[in-house]
Amino acid sequence: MERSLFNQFRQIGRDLFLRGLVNSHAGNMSVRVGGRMFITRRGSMLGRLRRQDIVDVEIDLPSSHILLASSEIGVHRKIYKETSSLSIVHAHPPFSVLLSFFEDELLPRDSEGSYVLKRVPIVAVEKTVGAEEAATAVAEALRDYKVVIMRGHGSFARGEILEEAYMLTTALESSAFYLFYMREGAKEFRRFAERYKDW
Amino acid sequence: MRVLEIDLSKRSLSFRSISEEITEAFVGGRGVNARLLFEETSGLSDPLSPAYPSFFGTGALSDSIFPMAGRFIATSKSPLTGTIMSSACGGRLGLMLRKQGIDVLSLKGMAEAPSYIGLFEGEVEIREATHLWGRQKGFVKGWLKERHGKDTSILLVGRAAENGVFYANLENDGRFLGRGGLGAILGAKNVKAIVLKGRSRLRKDEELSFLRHEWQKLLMANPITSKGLPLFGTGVLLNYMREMGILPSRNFRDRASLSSASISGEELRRGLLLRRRSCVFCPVGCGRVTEFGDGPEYETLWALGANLLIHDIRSVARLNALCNEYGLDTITLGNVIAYAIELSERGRLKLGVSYGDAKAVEGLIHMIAEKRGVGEILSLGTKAMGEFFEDEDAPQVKGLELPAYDPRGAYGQALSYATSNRGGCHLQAYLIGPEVLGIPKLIDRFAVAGKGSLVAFYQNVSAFMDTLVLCRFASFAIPPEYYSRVLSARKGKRLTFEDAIRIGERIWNLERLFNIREGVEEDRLPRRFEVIPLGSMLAEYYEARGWDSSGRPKAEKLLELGLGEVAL
Repeated sequence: MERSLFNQFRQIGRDLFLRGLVNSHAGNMSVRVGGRMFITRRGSMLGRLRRQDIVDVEIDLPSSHILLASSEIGVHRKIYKETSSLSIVHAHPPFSVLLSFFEDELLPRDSEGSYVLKRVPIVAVEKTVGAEEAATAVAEALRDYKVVIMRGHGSFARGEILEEAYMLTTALESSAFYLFYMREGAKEFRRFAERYKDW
Repeated sequence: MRVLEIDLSKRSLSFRSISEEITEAFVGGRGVNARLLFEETSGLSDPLSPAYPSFFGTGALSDSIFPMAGRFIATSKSPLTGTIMSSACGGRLGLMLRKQGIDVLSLKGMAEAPSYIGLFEGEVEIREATHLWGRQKGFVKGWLKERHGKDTSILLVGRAAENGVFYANLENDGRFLGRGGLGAILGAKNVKAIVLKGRSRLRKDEELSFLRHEWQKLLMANPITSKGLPLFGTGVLLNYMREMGILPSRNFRDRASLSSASISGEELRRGLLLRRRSCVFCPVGCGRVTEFGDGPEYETLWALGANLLIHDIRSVARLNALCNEYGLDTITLGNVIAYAIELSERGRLKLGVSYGDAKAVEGLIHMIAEKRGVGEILSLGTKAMGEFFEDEDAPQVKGLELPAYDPRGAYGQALSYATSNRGGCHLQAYLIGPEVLGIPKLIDRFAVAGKGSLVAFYQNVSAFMDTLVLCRFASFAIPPEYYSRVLSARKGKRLTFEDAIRIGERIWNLERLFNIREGVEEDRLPRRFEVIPLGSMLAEYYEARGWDSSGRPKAEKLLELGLGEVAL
């Protein structure tokens, strides 16, 4: 793996941890390269990634490297098969996960969230890790949205590059934070505010 | 969709509908044009022959006030490259076609004498234009406007097209369809101009109002579309590209020096700018108008300026005006002249022109446009020049000369050039965005892994944008997922972002099949760029595309894209 690609994994992994978007051994990331993907190792610490924590696997074909890859590899594979995504960040952003217990979608009202996210769907599945059902629901949502939340579990963001998926994850969490603390009667400043529901 | 087909040989016209199956699969613009071209040119090979068709297609929004979308796109086979060639323009031709209920204009045949075509509020006329042939554009436009009204839209060719220069362009309302010699095709049909006047009102689509609002917010929030381009035009790129070391000079043998700052967008604004020019319903207004006329744009500032070591802004503007008058693609022309000077320096050609000599370059432009002396071979482009002078170092890709970004400084852009369906083109996948400008985010421009997948993605997005005929500059500010929503709002039917990408991929594969059918050469870069690790990027690219190792789409990919019936 090229140094610049590894550096992306290492730096973004560290930022995800320091920003409190993943716990010490949670979350995962991947980048698509042709018919393959580089994905973080199962149980790796995103805040302290080493070269051996990035695993190279085929997207379509099973291989022995699957033993090492993140337990969410099925979701990543499904996303790459079903969409044109080139990078994925999966995190556990606390406010986003918290709101997912109460809502069916997030409609960010802050400026950044309103510009870059518009609407974030929330999908609900019974088995949230490793199940085909979870992979299908997330991949389906990412056909038309850049970020999706799996209820009670975490976010999946897609990007053309890893940094974009990371940016969307942080924007999501900020928006969720504002939404959580927003009091009734909060003032709206956006024309067409009601249309974001249709996005 | 409704196609107006004009056969100039028979002086006949007919209307026909395009099946819903085709419009679902290819939407409009570049997609539908490509599909029609593929189907109607089987067994034809010479794009300058009378039977060969040209298509002028509109997008789903060409009749709306949606920003950056009131455009049209022309498609045929390039006489310069032999590839499929689509070229978009922000003149009013598309709008006028749609106002008359025409989605695609198809031209074939050859008029007996020089002619112009009139499309006046639903009436079609083919009128003789012998008295306009060989005349200056100003005279032609003035005569046509006097005759048909000031509010007409005029698409016309210059004398280079009349003379069969392989890179003659088309002009519509002061905007140009520059690349690939589509003007030469009209010239070969004896068509001097198409004059249009439409009367129906623009569509006011409530469904689009929210998206238009969001679109304008993003344009305003982006410094390139809200400040850089309006203030300095596309020339705003010149200084930065030089600073990044990717502004070439002397036919890609050097990097441009600091002297090129004197021909930047800033200098143009300071010393020459009279006013801005906008395409139809565009709030950006990147076009420049100076005392010499329209332009020069970034590519021209480079091709006729930094590339030729002409660092006087007035000289470059004058040369650009001369090219506009003749109707010449300035990118190809600048490359041709730079290559000719290089050949002359290597003792392969007696030219009497050197880098930096604007006066001599001006003389050479006259010779090329009129196909006099050495101008005759130069009028065929660098690939033909390389073959003629038995030189294997002609800097071109698939016959199309490269634009103002040195591929050695941006490997993704290099791959984009090598794999482009129209040859050395920056617009079919503008990797300068992520690699140099940081759009959407800055990536390592010298990295190799991931570039193949990224280029394929950008090509698909761009192909979809061209079905709506959206200005490529929209992508500076507007993320790709907006485009499918715009089409959904117009059609009243939900189309996901992935559906849009799939449409783009379908178009890309069909264009690739066209090129394979026409015997277009493999994906490679000129010899002087051999430092670029093209092989490994190509391998990833073919894998990402689902093609075999020689770059041919596999049967299963074609079936997946619904192209089996067309191609297999």
